[in-house]
Amino acid sequence: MHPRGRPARIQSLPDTAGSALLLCLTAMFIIMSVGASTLSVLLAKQASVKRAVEVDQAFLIAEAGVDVALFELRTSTDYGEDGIGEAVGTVGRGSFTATLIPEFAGPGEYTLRSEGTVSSITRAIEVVVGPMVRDIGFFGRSSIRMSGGMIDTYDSDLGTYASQVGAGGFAGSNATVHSNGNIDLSASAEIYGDATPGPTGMVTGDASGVTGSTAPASELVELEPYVYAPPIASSGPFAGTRVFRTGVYRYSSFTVLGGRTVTFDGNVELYVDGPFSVTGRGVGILRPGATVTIHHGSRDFTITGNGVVNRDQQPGNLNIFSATNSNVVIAGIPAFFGTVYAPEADFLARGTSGLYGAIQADTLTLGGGMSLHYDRSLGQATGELEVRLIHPTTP
Amino acid sequence: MNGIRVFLFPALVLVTRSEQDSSAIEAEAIRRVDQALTAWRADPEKDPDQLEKWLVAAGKPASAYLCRIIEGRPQDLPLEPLVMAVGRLGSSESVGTVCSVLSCPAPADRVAAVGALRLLFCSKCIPFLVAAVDDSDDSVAIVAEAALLGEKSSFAQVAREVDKHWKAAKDKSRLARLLGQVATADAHERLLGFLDLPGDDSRVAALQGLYLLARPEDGERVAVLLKGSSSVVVRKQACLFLGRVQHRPAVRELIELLRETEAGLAANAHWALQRITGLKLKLDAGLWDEWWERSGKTLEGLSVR
Repeated sequence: MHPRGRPARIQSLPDTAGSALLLCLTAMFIIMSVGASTLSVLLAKQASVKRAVEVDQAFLIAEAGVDVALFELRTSTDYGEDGIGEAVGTVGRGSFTATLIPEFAGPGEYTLRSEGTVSSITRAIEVVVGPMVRDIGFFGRSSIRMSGGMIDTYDSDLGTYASQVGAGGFAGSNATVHSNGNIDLSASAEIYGDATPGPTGMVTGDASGVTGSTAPASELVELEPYVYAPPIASSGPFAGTRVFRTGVYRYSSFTVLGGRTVTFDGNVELYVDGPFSVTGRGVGILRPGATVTIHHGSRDFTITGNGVVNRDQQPGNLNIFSATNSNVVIAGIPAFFGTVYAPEADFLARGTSGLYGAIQADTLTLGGGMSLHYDRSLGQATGELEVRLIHPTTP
Repeated sequence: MNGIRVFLFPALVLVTRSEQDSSAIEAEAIRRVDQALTAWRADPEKDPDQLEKWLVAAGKPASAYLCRIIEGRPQDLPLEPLVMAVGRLGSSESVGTVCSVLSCPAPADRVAAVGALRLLFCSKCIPFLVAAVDDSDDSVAIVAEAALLGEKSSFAQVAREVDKHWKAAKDKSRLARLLGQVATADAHERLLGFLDLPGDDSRVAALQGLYLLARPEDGERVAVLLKGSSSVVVRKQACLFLGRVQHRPAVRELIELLRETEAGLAANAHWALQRITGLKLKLDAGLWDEWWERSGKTLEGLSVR
């Protein structure tokens, strides 16, 4: 109290009083706001990361489904009693469902679709699988010698060779020229593709014409032996003119020369025990639609001069199997369309008319600028499956 | 004087008798050769192997006569059995005649000449055999190579003759492979020297010879060509050598080659990488880069030079 009875003057607070509190509150508000927004960002990020992890996991689980289904396809076994190539299963927190389109019905091309699910995330992948095809190409088990000429590829299913030749003067550049020994190149020989010598061999001579690999193979390639086993008795030697229609024929020797003509019509199986020769003015003709398989036992197999004319120009229509350990010679005037499998023979091709098809022999000698064109439609199924395409898809 | 006569007379008699004997022997050999040739001409089968056997049966004294026949280049006789017979009879004086057959146009005659030189082998044969390794016919080259790699051969002389013949050689790779098989220090030095010569054919051939030798110490010398040469074929061959000797310091440069637009060069580099590292990664430069960054560059011997 004041001594004179006057109310005591209340000492007023300074103008700044309370501002600290306000500042504190403001700061707290800001901090809390920042904290809250940081928390929300972190939570969002965590959710996003969790989702990304689950997406990855879903893909991995879908891949596991593909693996299970592929295993069933490769072993042709149904492990889940739901059809070959169909699979359902769980992996950790997730599950997969694999389906095959169309339903499995032996070797062929299929689309395998697998969905993997983790929590609520589902991801799917599609895999296209089909039979693995091995290109035969040109194989000389012991050695290959090539002087001049060129080797390339084409596909007779897509049209003629000429229609597939590009500006470079060749068709496909994925030829396979393979030997267990050396591959000797000279006189500017060209190989549009790989020249693969044996594991201890090498490409010798002028290798500048090889566009692909010249590296040696990692292992030896063996040819299945060919056993000459005629199913019928021999009709003795053949020399002359004749039309061979669908059927099986066997001769002790086969000679076509001096203006003689043999014509093949239909599906012909021809067995020749000894020498086979179409030479000089002699000629062999495969009529359109004809398919000819020649089984040759021993001694020389020779096609020169007017040679063998394959009207359809389909190498798959003329297949020669020979058990000879002597020479197989192709040097006719017309282009040769066919395949030769002679695992013990020395194969010689010379001339400029070209050879379309595939050759497998003990040795290959290509001279005189002979060009070889491998027909990729002759590729052999290996009995294995190959994965041709993998892509993610929407579930 | 009488004493001298006493000694000289028997000596003269002996010499005369020996000359008479040798001329008689030679005359007999000539008679047998002529007989063989007559018999062969009359033989409807005209088997050259049979003629060779008959001529060899005439014996070594027939060599000189056979050489005279060969030098006359008879039109009605095959040279092949005559030359082989001379080789089998083994008279070193026949070498010149046999070498002259190497210039004959028929490959079969040249093969026979090389075969005969193999039988007559002496240092005089080596230059001719080295030239025959470069023959346009494979069979001549193969027989000549076998002769030069035989037990009687002097590898030092072979290496010298290859060196002399190198510039004029039509197919240098055959000569390089011969040196690669000779495999002496001298041959090795010459192959390395050929790497420095101008011309891709010399380098590729030298690399083919070195590939056969497969000496790891040549890795560094060959690795220089990966960057130093602009030739695709030289670099492709260098890749194969480096892969074969597993030259680890070249790995980084080989990875760079995977980016090459020349598919063959990239494929050879890929083969070399797989062989050096033992990894079966695809031909994908990105994959190999990743491996290099993660672990490749830290592995012993793989560091960048």
